[in-house]
Amino acid sequence: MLLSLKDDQKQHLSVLISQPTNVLQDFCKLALDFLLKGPAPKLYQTAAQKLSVQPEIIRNAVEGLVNLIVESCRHQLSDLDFRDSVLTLGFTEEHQEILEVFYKEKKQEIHDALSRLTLDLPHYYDLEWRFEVQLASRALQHQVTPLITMNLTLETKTALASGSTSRKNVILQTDPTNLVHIAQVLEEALRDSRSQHSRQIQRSFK
Amino acid sequence: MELCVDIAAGLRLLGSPTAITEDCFTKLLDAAICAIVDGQKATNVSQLCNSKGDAIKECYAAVLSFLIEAARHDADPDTLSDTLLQDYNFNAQRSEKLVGIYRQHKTKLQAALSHIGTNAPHIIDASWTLDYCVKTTSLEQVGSFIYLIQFHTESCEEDCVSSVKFLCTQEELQDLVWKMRDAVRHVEKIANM
Amino acid sequence: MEEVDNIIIHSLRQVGCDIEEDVDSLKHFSTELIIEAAVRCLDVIHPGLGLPHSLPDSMSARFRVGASIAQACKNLGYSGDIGYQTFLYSGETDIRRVFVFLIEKLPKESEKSIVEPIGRIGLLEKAVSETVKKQLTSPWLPRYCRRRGIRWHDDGTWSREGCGHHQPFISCNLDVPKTANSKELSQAWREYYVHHLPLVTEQVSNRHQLLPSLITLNAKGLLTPLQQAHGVTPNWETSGISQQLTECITRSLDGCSGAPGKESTLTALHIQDNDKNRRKETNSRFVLSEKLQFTKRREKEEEMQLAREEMERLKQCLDSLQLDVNKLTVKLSQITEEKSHEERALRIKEEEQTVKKRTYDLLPDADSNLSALQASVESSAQTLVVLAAQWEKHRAPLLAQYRDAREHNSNKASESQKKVDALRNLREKSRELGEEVRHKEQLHSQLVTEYEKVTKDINRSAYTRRIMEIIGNIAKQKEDIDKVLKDTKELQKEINNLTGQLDRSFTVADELIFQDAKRDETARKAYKLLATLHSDCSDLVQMVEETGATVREIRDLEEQIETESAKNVGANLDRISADLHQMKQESAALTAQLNAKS
Repeated sequence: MLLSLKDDQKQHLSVLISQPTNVLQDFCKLALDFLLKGPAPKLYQTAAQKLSVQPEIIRNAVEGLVNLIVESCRHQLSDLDFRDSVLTLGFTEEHQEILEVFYKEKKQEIHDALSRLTLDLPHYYDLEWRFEVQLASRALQHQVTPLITMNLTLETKTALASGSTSRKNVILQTDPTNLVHIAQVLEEALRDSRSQHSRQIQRSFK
Repeated sequence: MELCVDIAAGLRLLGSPTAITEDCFTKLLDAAICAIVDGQKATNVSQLCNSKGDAIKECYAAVLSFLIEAARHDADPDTLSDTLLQDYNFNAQRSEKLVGIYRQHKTKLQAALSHIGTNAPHIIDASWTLDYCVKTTSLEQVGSFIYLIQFHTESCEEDCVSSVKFLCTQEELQDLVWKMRDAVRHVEKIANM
Repeated sequence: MEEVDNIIIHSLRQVGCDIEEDVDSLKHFSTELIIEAAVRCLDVIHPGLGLPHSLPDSMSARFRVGASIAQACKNLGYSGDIGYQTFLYSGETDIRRVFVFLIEKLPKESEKSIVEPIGRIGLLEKAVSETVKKQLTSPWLPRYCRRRGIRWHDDGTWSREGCGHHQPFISCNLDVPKTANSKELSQAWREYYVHHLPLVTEQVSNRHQLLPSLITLNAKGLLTPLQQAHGVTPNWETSGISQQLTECITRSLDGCSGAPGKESTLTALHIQDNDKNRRKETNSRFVLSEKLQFTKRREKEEEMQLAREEMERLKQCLDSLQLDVNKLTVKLSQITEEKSHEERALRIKEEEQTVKKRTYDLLPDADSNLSALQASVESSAQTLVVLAAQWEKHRAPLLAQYRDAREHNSNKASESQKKVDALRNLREKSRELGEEVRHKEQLHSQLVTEYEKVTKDINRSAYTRRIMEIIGNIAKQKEDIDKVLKDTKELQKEINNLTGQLDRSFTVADELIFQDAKRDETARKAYKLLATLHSDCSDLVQMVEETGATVREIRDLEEQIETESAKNVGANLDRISADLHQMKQESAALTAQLNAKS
């Protein structure tokens, strides 16, 4: 499949087509910085001075490049599809090679980030448990109450940049009978994703 | 098990046949057990109070304290009967009656005492849904299973069931299950120690 | 296999099978022996199955025994193929598998009893493991099946599975009457205790607070004397008492307000309050109907005003009169006092007067009177001396008696004190002894059970030695296998190398000769020869491979034959046909019997 971009997006990218390969390489670096740290106007300023164009144009070009990569990841373009898409945008063969290398390198990373982005419900992150026996309380000084105390760490990821994940600890406890039951229920859940039915669904949606 | 001076005095009063009649003694014991185990107000005791109200009230408090302290310290019925006979001047019949009541209701008393205290939320059940994620706002093709896991918990503050919800991918659930199974295995090991 | 057989035979002997000395392999087991061994094992695992130890004569009964043993094994969880034929027409491997399974299932009490816990930690660990075991074996229950988060087991114990009904430890002050030192109590307190103090169960605002409050009550009672002993009497205690006092007062207020005749300030206050309320009420009523009856009201009010003034005046008058009365009363009392004073003075003076009068009477005959007086004084002095002597005479023995008695008394007191002490000591000792006896009895019973468990000794060292030997054998075998595998791998590599070399050289030769073949006739011939040579050689290689495969197949088949023959199908078949023949005979005999009867 070919990626179809809007006209103004194409226009933003068109600046790059006329540039030599090393400049395009620099733009790839700028795009990567954008992905990791967000926009950096100072760098755009210096780039604009070097190329003697408006900083605005540089920024648009960087954002256009980022958009191109992210959209490609979003549709999970194969390398071949990506090459064709880039060529239809008017890039030369050399340009295309550089972009392809960049795309291949960052594809997995961006895809992971995108898949995380979707749901802001807390995600399972870790579980620690310990077995303890309650031997006495103020009201009952001789008792043997086995308990399993658990620390469930949940993670909420909200954006691409790594700083915005928030972790929450939930302290829970249970008794052996319930523990066995819960373990069984969850194991059953896990088995169910490998069942014939689930596999059929997975196949039918591919 | 130790009783303070006032309660010991009350218990001694309860043991003396001149102060408390046999009938009154039985009623006091029944009322005390009812009050602790079932949480009922003792109406028949207030009827008893018409004569010697102060003595009845003192004995009632003493028998309540005695039962609770004995259960709280998991006291042995035989030792208790010795103590009653020697330190509180009970006769054999009354001591047998009181210890008998204690023996009969000991676990219930302890269960009632175990309700007092604070605890972390207690998981009592788990439920799950298995979703197949087809498409999201940021990805055209996802194609992965997502579990929504829900732990049902009981907590001390309120009487109702609340829950902890979270998402899991297949791998994360595998991790969770392994950890749970590890815990189960540990508990089983302890059981077979 | 021999090792396994040895272990099996050893275990079977321990179970109680009578296996002869020269039997050292399962091959030599007769059907009878197999049946007996299996039944004995099952008896140990599950006492009370009631299977016979020897085979009956009748064929059908035999079949039934075999089938029931097989069923018992299945019930124990044996997963392999098992039926009556396994026991009656046995194959060595099947029987071995069954016995290994049965021996694994044999209870291992002896091992457990060795690590019987001792001491506090050990007992605690045991209690923990027992509790956990009980909880693990009980099935899971949904929430609504539990009573207040607690599951009750059949044996009356409970375990906590949830905390939905927990309540925090909140206690409040409880007030309990003290009758022990009732003489020190004022009448009011006693009155309060008897009539107005509610029961402890009704003093708490929430029934969840009852148990914590009672625990606190006892704890407080235990700790307060300690605090006082340390001289710590902080201010809060007194403030606590006053607070308690106000609480008591408010509590008894309800009772008091209804009781007439009690002139306390509290009730007075209460009545005043009521008055105020009443006045307010009238005021509001007045507002409602004010316009209609305004004038009338006015008049009435004036009248009332007048009456009130009159009353005020009267009250003042009354006050002044009362004041007068008071004054007069005071005066009266003063006067009465004065009067009594005067009377007393008069009486003294009268006495004085009589004495003087007598003296004056005696004056005329002064000397004789004086001597008489002296004589009488002397005589009285003498009598005094005599009396003193007499008194002394009486006093000395009494004093001695008193001293004796006192000494005696103190002796007795100390003696009784000693006795009391001794008694207390004895009681303490008896309690200690009782506890010790109980403890010892517990220990005894525990030891007895332990002893019963321990008596069965098993030959552990033999087992371990064998296991070590087996492990050594396995290691050796593994080494051999590894060596063979390595050899095979090397050979394979060599073969691959050679094939590759062959292929390459063939292509090179092929190309060379093919190029020449276009021009040269001999070369063409050589090319043809090369081609035939190549195909022939590959045929040869194929042949060799096939031979290898066939040899492998032969070996497999031989193995299969061996396993089949191990099952001694032939002999079993013979026995089965013999048994069948016998059965037929039996049934024929039965039919004949039936016919004869009918």
